[in-house]
Amino acid sequence: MVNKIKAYRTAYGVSQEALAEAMEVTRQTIISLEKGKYTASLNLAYKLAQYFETSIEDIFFSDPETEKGEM
Amino acid sequence: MLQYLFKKNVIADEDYRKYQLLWLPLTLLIGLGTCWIIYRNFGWSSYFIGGLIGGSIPFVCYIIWLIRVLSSPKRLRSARLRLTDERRKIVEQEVWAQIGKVLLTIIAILIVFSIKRDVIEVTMMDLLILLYLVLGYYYYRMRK
Repeated sequence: MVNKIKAYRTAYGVSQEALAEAMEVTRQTIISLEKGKYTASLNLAYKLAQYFETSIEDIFFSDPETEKGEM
Repeated sequence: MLQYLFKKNVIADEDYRKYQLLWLPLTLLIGLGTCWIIYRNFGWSSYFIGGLIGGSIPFVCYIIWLIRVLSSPKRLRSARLRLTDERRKIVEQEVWAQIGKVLLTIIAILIVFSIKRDVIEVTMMDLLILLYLVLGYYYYRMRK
């Protein structure tokens, strides 16, 4: 699963710390999300979508190359 | 009120405060119980005094940390987020699963060896080393 969290965060001018505070997670979780090392839960994905005033599908999408590797 | 003994019921900062304040007397009781067991086994000896000093230092540090966290709303929130963070919960589950597998492997090896030998001695030192290795691994994995 790939995401555009970093792009949205930069566009909104929000720091990782501030985003973590708003999402009620640790900064390490935001870092892991942006690096693609962690897949957010549905609850967190929904909160991120609400925060960035967009839909979950605009932030998170599957990468065919990654899915091929996993298969 | 007793529901706040469990991490899963901690949602807000105030819940975290209750969680810590509930665990403080329990931790104290466990510490005193351990001291009493050591005293019963060794009496008023250097082992007991050493255990008392060694055990009270981390406890004092814990109390100081608790006072600092509970007196600052920012630190309280930060500590609560560390406890309730979803990624940390998953990592913690993985770490305990790995620790459990290693401990089960050790027990299996000891059982196999005990077939050949009558008695396998596991001293207090061995258990303490194992405990510190487990705690060391846990804090190493959870450091981030």
